[in-house]
Amino acid sequence: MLISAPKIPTDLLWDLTIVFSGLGILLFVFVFIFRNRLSNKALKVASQKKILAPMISNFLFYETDATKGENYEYINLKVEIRELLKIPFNRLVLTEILLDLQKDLSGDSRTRIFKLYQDLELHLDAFKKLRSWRWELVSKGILELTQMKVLAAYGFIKKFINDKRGVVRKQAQIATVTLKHEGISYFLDTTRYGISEWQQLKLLDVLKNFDDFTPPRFKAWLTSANRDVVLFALRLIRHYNQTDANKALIELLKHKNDQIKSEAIQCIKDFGVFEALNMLKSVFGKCNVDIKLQILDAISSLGKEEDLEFLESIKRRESNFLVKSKAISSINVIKPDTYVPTEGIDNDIPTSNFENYEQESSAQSPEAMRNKELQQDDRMSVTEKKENSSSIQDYLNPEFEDAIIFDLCFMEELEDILSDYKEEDQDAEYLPLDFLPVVSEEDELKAAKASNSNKNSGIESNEKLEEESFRVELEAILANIRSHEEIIPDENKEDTELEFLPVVVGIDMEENIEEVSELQEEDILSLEVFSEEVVIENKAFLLQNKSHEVELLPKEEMDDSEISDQKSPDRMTTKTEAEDFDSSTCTNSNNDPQSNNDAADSCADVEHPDNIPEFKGFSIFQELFRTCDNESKLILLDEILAVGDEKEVHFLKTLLNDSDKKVRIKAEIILNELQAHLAPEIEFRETLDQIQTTESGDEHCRLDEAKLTATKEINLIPISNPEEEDSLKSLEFCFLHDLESDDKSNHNNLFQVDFELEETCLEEIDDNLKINKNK
Amino acid sequence: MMAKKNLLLAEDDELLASLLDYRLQKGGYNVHLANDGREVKEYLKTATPDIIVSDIMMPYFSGIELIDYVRNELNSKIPIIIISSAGNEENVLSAFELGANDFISKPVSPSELLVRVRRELIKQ
Repeated sequence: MLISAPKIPTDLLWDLTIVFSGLGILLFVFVFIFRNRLSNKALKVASQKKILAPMISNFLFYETDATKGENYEYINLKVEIRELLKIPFNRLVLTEILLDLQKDLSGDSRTRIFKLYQDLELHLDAFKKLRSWRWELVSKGILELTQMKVLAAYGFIKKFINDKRGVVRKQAQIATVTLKHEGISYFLDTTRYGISEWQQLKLLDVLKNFDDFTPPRFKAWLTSANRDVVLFALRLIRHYNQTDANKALIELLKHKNDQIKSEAIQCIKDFGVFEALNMLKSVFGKCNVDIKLQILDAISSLGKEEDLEFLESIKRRESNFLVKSKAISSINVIKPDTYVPTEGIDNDIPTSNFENYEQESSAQSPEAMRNKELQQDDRMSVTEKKENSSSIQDYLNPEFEDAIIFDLCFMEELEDILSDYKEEDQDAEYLPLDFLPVVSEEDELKAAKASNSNKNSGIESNEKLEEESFRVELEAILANIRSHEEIIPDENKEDTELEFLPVVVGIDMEENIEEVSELQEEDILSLEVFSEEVVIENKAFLLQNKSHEVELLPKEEMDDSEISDQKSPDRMTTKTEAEDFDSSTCTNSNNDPQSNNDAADSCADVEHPDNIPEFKGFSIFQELFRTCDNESKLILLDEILAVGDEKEVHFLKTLLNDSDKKVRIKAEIILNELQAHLAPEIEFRETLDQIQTTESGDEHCRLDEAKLTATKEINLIPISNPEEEDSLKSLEFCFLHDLESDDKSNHNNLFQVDFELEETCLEEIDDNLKINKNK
Repeated sequence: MMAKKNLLLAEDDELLASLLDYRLQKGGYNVHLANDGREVKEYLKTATPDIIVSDIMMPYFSGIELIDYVRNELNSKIPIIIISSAGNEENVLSAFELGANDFISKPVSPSELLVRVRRELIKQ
């Protein structure tokens, strides 16, 4: 079902449209007309002001001693202005001008304006306004007469003091007070209406601006029935310091109105009305909190010790915190420091131990503590000193903190050295090496201390003490060392070194050796790794360490290691590498004069093959050959050719003496083939050894040369065909794949270039692949 | 006979301006009256008065700006007396900081102003 739209009478709509449009037009017309009228009037006033202003100026600044011409002009202007003032509009404009000017002018000119206003009888217009029924006109008339100081209007205006119209009444109150000095008295006597706070301020402002005003005794109005009159009178009493109203003020403390009570209390406090104390105490109980606070404030300023009892009772009984607090503060005002703050006070802080604290701190001053430490060094352990140092540091002056920490560390070091020395009977040569830098640091510290000596003269004596004790300590150590040198036979010295030094480096070396073995393999098999500077640097470092390890290993340990190495191929590989690098280390050792002797000794050991058994490598096939039959041995020999390396060469050599003839013949064939297969590798290793030998002198240059040589010898060619690259991934040369992937991950430009092996190598690889395939 | 000193009076209240103008002329000065800051600026472009008496609150161009203009843009040391309403002490202080020579508060006593103008001119 469709909803039909309601029928609207279009005629009615049209009528309404016309009516509202007409009303709108009328409104605009009225606005336009009134606006024009107002603006026209303003223009007329402005133009009239321009005409009247010079005339007023002439009147204002007319002087009696003026010339004849000026006098003539003045008289003419007077005649002219009187003619003008016959027109009400001109009177209005002239009144406005005078009212404006009296605001902007002061002094004699202003007085002349008031006189001119009355001379021109403009005040009559203001009186007419007073008779108007319109309150705004009445108010305007009162204001005009007040501003122009028309004293004659006082009698007329005072009748409006109790006018029911608020604006007229207030205007009349101000006018009455302004026009005559006795106006305030009349106002306070007759006013029946309340006086607002604002009105009181305005009246007070008027009274303040009176030049020679003798205020009436306002206590007379303290008995007024009008509460506001009493309040205003109290304020006036306080303002004019009228102290003759004490009795009335005391009586007003009993007033029901809190405002009056408050004002009376203020007056009592300001005027020091001591006789009001009893009344203040009496009314205290019936007052609200604000008045109570005011009473307590008054008591604090007026009260004596006799009043403390009252205040104490308030403090005990009063539940309101503000009143209680005020009572306490009043007590403190009358009798200072009766109560001290108790809230939020930390009672644990001692108040009278300041002197003790000073004594303690002076006893624990850095100088005293250092002296004490030096005296106790022989008796105290290092750990005890550490504990003490932490407590000492709390009192340390930052200037001496570092020095004392250094002293503690130094003494700790010294203690360790001495204890180690005594317990383990170590070689004396070790001690000076670690000890000497400490001495030099101590010297620096002393030099620094010497520069700071001017700052604190007390430090100097302590330094002397320190030096003395240090010297004694040092002498004791050196004497100890000398005595040990005498005791220890020379032949045992080397043994001592060998026993001692591995303890220092042995643990780290084991880890380094493993790294070296890996690096060594890579160096031998890969030219790319060889070119990596970082690896080479590590390697050089490790090689040096390795030489130390080898030279430091005692003979018994070396023998044992050989046995253990039989079970541990990795370890064995490491040892062989160590052997390989021994020669280079011996040559490198010349660079370090300090370690020259040690290195020479170690090299001497290495150069004697009797001392270190020749390592022949461990083959995985060795174990298999022990348990298998001859047929299996023959098959395994084929496998040796496929996967074997240098280790298998040694193993095959042992098989040449095998009991089985077939095995011997086969082993000889395989050995020859394997040697031929490993020939480039061995050759490369020899080249590498040469490089290692020359490495320590000018490492980088020679490495580059060796690299070039090795490159020439192996004659590597960049791979152009990826398929060929894939073909390299045999079991034997799978490391190439690893290297390739490593190279890619390294993103080294040098390794960006792909290499392929020389044709001879490739042929061998192909052979191996064929063998693998056949298998 | 001494030539009359040129005085620029800048005051937006026409009544007060005309009254002061009358009094200053009567006091022997050649007064040029300007009712706003623009007129002051225009006048200063064409002439150099011996002294300026200016209200602080003026349309378009306040007395403070006038002092700044005279002292910093014109680099002139013309004596400037400021007329200010009571309770406008901050502006008065600003005026003195910018280089005003004297200050008189409203309501103005024309006789007092005359004395101050005379004194400033004597100082110069």
